[in-house]
Amino acid sequence: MSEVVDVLNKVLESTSSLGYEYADLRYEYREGFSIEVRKGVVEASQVGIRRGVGIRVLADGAWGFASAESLELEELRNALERAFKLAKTSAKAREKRVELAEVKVYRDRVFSRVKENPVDVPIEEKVGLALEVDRRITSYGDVIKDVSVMYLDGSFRKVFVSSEGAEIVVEGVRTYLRVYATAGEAGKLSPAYEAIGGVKGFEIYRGEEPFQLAKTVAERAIGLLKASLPKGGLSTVVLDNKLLALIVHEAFGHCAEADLVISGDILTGKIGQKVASELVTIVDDPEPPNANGWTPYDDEGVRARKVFIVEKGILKEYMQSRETAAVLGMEPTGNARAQDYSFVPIVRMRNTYMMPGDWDPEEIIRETREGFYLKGAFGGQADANGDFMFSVQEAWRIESGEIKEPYRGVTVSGNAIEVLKSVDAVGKDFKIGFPGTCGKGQMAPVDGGGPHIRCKIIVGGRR
Amino acid sequence: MRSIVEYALKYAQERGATEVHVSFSRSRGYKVEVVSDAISNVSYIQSARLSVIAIVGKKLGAASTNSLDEREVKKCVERAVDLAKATTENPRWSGLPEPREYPVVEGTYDKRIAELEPEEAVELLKTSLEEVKETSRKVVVMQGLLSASKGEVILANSRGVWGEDRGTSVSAYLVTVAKESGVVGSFASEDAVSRSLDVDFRELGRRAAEKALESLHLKPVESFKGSLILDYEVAAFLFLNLARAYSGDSVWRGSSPLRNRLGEQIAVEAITVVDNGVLPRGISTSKFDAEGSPRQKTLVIEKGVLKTFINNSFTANILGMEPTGNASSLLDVAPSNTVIEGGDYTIEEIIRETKKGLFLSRFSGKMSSIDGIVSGSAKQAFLVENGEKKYPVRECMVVGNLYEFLKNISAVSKERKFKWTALTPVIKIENVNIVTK
Repeated sequence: MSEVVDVLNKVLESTSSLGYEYADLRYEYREGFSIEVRKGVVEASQVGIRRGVGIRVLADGAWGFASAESLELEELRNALERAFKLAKTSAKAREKRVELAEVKVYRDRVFSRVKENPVDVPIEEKVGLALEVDRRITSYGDVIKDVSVMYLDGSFRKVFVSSEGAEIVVEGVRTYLRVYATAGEAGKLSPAYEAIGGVKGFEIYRGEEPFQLAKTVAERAIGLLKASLPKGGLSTVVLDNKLLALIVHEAFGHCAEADLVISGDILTGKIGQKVASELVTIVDDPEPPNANGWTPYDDEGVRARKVFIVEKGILKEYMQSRETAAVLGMEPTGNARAQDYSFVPIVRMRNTYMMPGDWDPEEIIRETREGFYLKGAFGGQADANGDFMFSVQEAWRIESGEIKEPYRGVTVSGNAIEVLKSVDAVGKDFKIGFPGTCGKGQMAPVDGGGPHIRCKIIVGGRR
Repeated sequence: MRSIVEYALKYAQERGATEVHVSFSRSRGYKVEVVSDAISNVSYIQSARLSVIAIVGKKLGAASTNSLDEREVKKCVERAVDLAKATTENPRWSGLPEPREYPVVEGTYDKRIAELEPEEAVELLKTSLEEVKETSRKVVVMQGLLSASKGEVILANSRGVWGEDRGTSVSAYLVTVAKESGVVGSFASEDAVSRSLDVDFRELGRRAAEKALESLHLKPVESFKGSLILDYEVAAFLFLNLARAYSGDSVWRGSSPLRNRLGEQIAVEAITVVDNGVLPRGISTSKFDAEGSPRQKTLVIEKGVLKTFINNSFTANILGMEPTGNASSLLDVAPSNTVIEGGDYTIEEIIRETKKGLFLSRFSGKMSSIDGIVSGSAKQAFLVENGEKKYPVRECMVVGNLYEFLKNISAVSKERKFKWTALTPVIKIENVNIVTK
């Protein structure tokens, strides 16, 4: 990697006479492998390589950017000059100058720690795993109409060099297993889905977890075949860890991203104010072990730290880039992330979770007179005013502390602040490891988690 | 470009592939981004990609790279062949397509985009930003983007398919939010996409601002059962989800409820849907699809009757049908341009003839092609009462079933618009559940 660092530094040296205020270069090399198995057949298997350098230049108080798919000095120098010119173009169209908050300059090299590097595992073994997961699902019989088991892994190397003297190398591996199934009976179809993975080695596929996943997906798809839509309206609900992870991410997380805060969203100007029940503490963490959003340094070379967004119901901090931190007069937090070398970094979450409380999760359900137990998610969206919605995979009616019949097709919605203020029980269980890809103009791997909680939410259903 | 493709075809066969598919694509252009009302960045974007699929008997292996020096290209071919050898058979594999004549397509390349200078791109997006402020000072552009690029592709296979195509496209969007005396509205967004530089950036800004204002002072309504009028964007979302169900891959895999329903009335008579891969100026228009089969025009739903499914060679062979130029890969299928025929009503008439309903411009939720479940939040939704658009509503959820919606469409507008890859009218659906607190 030191060769790459040298080339990138040479590009900076040989262009320093241009007179820019700041420049950084991000080299990235990614190798990926994937297989998809559907009902006993390996349908597609592929490998891909992508490498390139993204070059960002701040000149005349504005940003310009260009990327190159090579490590040739000449080509990179041309790209930097192009980015410099684009910064000047951009400067003419801008009133306010871009300022960057000061940060400590690092020279460091970081590896993600895994037991078994997936790149070293023979393809036959990965194929065998995917086929076995598929078999566990199809073994439920003809009721299973469609299965898709996707296994992915890959390695990445990122090198960051800046005109301030930063030199950071981050290397790691990722694995991911995604399972879809559709059950069908009497012309009715019912889909289900689950995934595991993150900055993890192949060891997580050595145990029972992949097969547990298969069981969950198959039984959910079959179990919900006869389920219908529940009666809609404002309801008391118990959320499982995964749904909570999503609500924390979608509903609250986005509104605490400093770029949105600057534009003006529901959390603008609310630092120090009560925005949730005092049982609620929300953290965005760069380095929970092996989490999907693992970010020891962000894509601006900032050493990432934990952000306590909400502490006991009080809004404490926003997530920042160097640029937003300068605008708000706050500290960078290491939340500037880019999809890959061909994008500029923007404020993103990493691994966002709610801290556990002191309720036994079973006790939460036992102490609920009427409501729903909601499990699993298909995805969701949030809004600047804190309104959010997400699709739930399973909904179980709760009556007098007991779980009754299941429902499906449920979408829940609400306002982040209202919903988090309604939280009246937080479980002592805690689970993180719900890998996802968040879209905000760019895609970013993220993770989340938390305990079981109880709150009030609008459940979309029959009238 | 050509020599790399020729080399990959030849070398893969030497290494033991019985069939080979190669594609090479390249694109370049500019991107202008906006954050909080200001131009935040101007980027030059370029990318190139070689993709090789080697087939050994009935085993498929794919490899791709964006490093295009001789050594990396060679390695890419070797990895594809090695992977094919290491994997297991796909017993349904029936072979790559044979060469067929390609259609002539119109309006897919605009020199003005190909030669666009970054200064001009910045000016265009600034026009939108200015228009937002001229429309209302209460509106902030949270995020914005203009992206203009040209691309070229060569696709070839070992059976003699050789296709070359090029195209341009420009896309832009603004995400806006309105604020007034401490009240924050909900996100509004407006986008435009075109193959030529004919986007009205002023109109884009004005609509983005208007939509934000319409999302500001929302009023609650009681739950009711009534008419749901889908604005272009939501109608496009509905028809693009429906397209999943008439895609040959969903059909043979068993995840489509339209399986075994060819010839049946699945929608009201006013609905005719064409998958048109050669539509002049269409966003998905091209000479050939991802496997190298010619694009074509396919009548999928005629007066509500399901006529056919869309296919690539692989799914067509399984279903005993013909490929329709809808390969999104050798195994998967995707719609090209989804064209819904216009109806008899003007949008104004549709609203005027509505007793009670919602006019829905943004829907945040899902419409599943698998089980048909429609469930989500209504955004930028106006209450319509006694033929009049009254006020925007808050915290409404729309609940129902896509396949029931199709049978309850009571009006289709004459006016149509491009939204993403759909050319769609506004439609009205009856007896829909609107749920609130």
